Amino acid sequence: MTFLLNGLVFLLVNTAVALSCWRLSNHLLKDHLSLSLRVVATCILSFAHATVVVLLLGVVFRYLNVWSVSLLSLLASLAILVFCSMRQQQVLQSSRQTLSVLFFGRDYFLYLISALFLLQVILLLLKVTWLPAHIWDVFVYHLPPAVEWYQQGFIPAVLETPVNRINGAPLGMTVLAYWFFIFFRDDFLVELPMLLWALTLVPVSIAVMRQSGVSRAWSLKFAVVIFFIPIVLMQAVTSKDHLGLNVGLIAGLLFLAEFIKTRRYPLLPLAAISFGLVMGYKIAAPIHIVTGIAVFTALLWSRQRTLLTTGQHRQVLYKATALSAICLLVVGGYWYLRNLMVYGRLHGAYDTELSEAGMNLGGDSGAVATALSKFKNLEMLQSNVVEFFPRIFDYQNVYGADLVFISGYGPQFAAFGLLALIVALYAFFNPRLRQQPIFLLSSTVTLLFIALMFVNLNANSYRILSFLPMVLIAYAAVQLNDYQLLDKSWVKGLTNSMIVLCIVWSSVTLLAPQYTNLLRLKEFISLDHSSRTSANFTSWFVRPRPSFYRILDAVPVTEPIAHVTYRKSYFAGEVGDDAWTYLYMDRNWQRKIHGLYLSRYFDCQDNGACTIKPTLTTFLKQNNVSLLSSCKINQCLNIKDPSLIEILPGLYFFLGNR
Amino acid sequence: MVRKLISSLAMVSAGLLLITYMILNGEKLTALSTQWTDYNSGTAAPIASLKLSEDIVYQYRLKTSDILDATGKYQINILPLPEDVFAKTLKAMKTSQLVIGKQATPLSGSTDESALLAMTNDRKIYLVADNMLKPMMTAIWNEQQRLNRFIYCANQELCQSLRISSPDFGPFEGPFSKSDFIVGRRGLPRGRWARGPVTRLDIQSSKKQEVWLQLNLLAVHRDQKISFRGAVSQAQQTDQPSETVMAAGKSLTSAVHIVLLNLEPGTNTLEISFSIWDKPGSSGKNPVGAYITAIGIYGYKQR
Repeated sequence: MTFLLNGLVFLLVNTAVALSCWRLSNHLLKDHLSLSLRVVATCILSFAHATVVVLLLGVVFRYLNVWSVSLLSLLASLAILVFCSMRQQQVLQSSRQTLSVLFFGRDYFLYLISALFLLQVILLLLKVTWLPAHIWDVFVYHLPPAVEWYQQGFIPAVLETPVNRINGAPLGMTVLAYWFFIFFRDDFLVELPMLLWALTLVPVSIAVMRQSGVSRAWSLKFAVVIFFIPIVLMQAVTSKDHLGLNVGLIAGLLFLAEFIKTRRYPLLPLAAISFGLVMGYKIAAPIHIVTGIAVFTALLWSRQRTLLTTGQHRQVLYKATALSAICLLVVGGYWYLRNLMVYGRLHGAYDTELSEAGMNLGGDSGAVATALSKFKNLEMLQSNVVEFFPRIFDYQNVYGADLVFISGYGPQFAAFGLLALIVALYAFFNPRLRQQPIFLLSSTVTLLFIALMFVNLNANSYRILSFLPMVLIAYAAVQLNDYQLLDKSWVKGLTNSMIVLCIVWSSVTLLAPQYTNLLRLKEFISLDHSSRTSANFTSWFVRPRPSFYRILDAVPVTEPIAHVTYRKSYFAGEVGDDAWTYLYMDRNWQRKIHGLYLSRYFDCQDNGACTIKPTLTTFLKQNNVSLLSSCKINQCLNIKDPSLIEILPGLYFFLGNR
Repeated sequence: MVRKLISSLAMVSAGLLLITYMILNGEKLTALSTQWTDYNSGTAAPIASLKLSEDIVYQYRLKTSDILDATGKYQINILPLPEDVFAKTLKAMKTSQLVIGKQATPLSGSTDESALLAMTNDRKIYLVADNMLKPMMTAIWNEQQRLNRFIYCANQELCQSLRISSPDFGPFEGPFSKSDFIVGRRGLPRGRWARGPVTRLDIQSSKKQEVWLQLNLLAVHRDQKISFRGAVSQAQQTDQPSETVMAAGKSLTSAVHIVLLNLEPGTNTLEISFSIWDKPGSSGKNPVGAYITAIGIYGYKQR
C-alpha cells in the first residue's frame, strides 16, 4: 500500500516536471521544427528542475524531505504550465514526419536496430532497479552524501567525513540520486539518473546529426550505435557522473551550434543550463566548458560577426549572455560557491593532507600555477599517444572503465570514430568542413581530448573521455551523408551491417553484470528485496573480502556502525582516504554510519595491528555504537582490546554499551 | 573521381578496422561462455518457511553464507524474525519447524532463549528477533570460537607439556564456501598450507615422553608420498580410504598420517617431506606440500 502511494506521488511529480519542461522547451524554441532538439531541451530542463529544487530546499531552506520536494516541484511545474504557451501544430507536424519515417519507411535495418535498442533499454532498466550500486567510487563518495542529507533533512555545506573528495566535489549527480531515492525512501532507483542521461544521448545525437543534414532514419541508427558504446552501457547502470558530464557537454554544444546557425537567443540559456549541470558533476568540468565556449566564440566571430559588432544585436547578445550566466550559476554554481566560502578556494577540500570537516587544510599557494603547469606535461601526452591504439582496440587487458579489460570505446569507435578523427583534425584546415554545424562539437571534443591527454593518465581515464566517441561517431555519419555515400546501396548495406554488428557485440559482451560473483547471481536475483544490497552483491577484485559484509542485511537498521578510515596504506590496493561506507547501508538509508579517523582513535603498527585510544570508548558510548568495522576497503586492521570482541575478521562488538 | 575513390577506401577501411577490433577481442567471447557457465551453475535462493503447527508464519529467502562452521560443512545463516513472530515461535518451539524445500527441520533453543537453531544437512540457521543485535553476534561468535582449534590434545596435561610451531606453515585459512568468489579458496576447509617439498615442525617438550602425532591433511596429489625425519620412531598412513575433493581450485586428496615421536626435553624437530608438491596455495608465495586441517596429539598408551 505504501509502495503504491509512494509510486503515485513519484509518478505525479515526475510527470508534472516532464510536462512542464516539455512546455517550457516548446515555449523557448517556438517555431523551431526539430523534435529531437525539443526533447533534448526537455531532458536538460527536467534534470535542472530536480537539481535546483533539491539544492534550494536542502541548502537555502534547509527543509528537505519528500513532501517539500513534491510540493515545490508541483508548484513550479504548475507555474510553467500556466504561464508558458506552446504551438501544438508544429510539434504534431514534426512528430508525424518522424513517425512516418520510422514506421512506414520499410527500412528493415531500422526496425531491427530500434528493436535491439528497446531490448537493451529494458535490460538496463532491470539492471538498474534489480541490482544495487556496485562501483568503488559510489561506495566511497557518490552515494554516502545523499544518505547524510536524507538523515539530516538538509544539505550541510561540509559533511563530517574523512573522505576528502566529498568536501570538494560537485555532487550534482548525488542530488539526482537523492531525487530518485526520496519518493520511495528506497535506493532501488538511485542509478536511474545515469540511465536517463544515457537515454538523453539518443535525442542529443539525433539532433546533432539532423542539424548537419543527416536524414531521420540514419540519425536514429547512428544515435543507437552511439548509445551502445560500451562505456555508455557500463556507466548507465552506475550512480557515477561521467555520462551526465559528457552528454550535458554535448547538449550544451548542440544548443550553441544551433545558435550560430539560427541566431535564436533562447538557445543560449538552454546551453548555459546544460553547462550548469555539467559543472555540477565534476570539479574538472570548467575545463570542458571553457574549451567549448572558446571554440564557440571563435566560430561566432567568423560566422555571425554582426552579432558582435552591430550595436543593437550586441546589446541583445549581452543580455542573453548575462541571463545565461545566471542560469549557469543557479544550476551548477553552488558547489564552487560553497568551496569558496568554506575553504576559500574553488576546489574545496581536494588535495589536502587532512580535511576532516574542513579543518587542517594544506597550503594552497600557487594552485592555479600548478594546474596550468600540468598542461605542459609532455611525458604524459607521449604516454597517452602511445596508449591510444591499445586502448581503442582493447587488446591490452590493463584498462578499465568500471569494467575490467575494456577502455570503453568499443568496436563502433574503431570502425567509424577513428576515420572521423582524421577528418575532424583535417577540418581545422578546411573551410568547407568548418562551415558544418557539427564542427563546433568535433573541434571542441578533439581539442579537449588532446588537452586532457596532458593531465589525465590512468587505467580508467577513458571513462571521462567518452565525449570523443559520442561526437566522432556522429561526425562520421555527417561526413558519410555529406559525401552522399549513404545513398549508394553497397555503402548503405555495409554501414547497416556494421552498425548491427557493433550493437550486438557491445550488447552481448556487456550482458553479464560486473563486479559480482556470477556463481551467486541467480541466487542474488531471487533474494528478498531487503537482502539485495550492495554488500551482498559486490565482489571487487580477486582479493579477500570481509565475510561480514554478507550478514549486514540481518543487522537491525537501528544499530549504528562505526568504521575506520585513514590515508596511510596498510594493505596493497588501498587508495587514499577511500572507505567503502555505502556497504554498511540498508536499502532505506536508516542506519547511522560513523567514520573514525584512525589517528584520532587508534594506535597502529605497520602490520595493521592496532590498539585503541580512550577517545574511541568515549565516542562509541556517546553515539551508542556497538558495531565497529576495522575494514577500510576490503582488508581489515587487527584490533586488540578487551572491550572489543572480534565477531568475524574485521567486525568487532563493543562491550561498553551492554 | 579521387573523392569517390577516397570515399570507397574509407568505407572499406572502416570495415577492416571493425574486423581487426573483433579479432583482437575474440577472447572476450570465450569469457562470455565462462560467465554463462558460472551463472548457470548457480541456483535460486531457497525459501525458508517458518511453520508453527501447520501455519506458515514467516518466509525468508536464504542466501549462501560466507561464514561456515569449524567443519566447513555447515553454512551459518542468520534469519531475523519480526519480534512478535520470534516470541510466538519461542513459545511454540516444540511444534515449530523450518521448512526448506521439502525438508522440515525442528527448532532448538539456546540456553538463554535469545536465539533458535535449525540444523539442516548443510546449514545452521539461527533465528533471532530482528531488533536484537546481541543474540546474533553471540551465535556467530560461538561458531567462530570453534574455528581456532587446530591442535587437538587427548588431555590437558599433554597439551601443557608440548608446544608445536612451524616456520613453514602458512596463515590460517578457510573454511570457504564452494561458491566463493576467489577460485583459489573455493571449498577449502579450515587449515594451513604446509610448504613443499619439506615442512619443519618444532616441538617443544617439557619432559621426555613418547607421543603419537596425527596429521589430518589434504595432499596436493593422489600419489603423493610423505616421509618423516627427526624425532620420529614409527610412522604410518592410516588405511582408511582417501577421498578426493575439489578445493582451492585444485584436486586434493584427504589423508591421515600418524607418527610416534620420541621427545626429549627442549626443542625437537620433525621434518615432513612431500614427494610431490605444487605451486603456491590461495595465499603465500611458497610451493605447497599439503593443506593441514588438524594436528592431533595422543599419549603413547592413549591411542
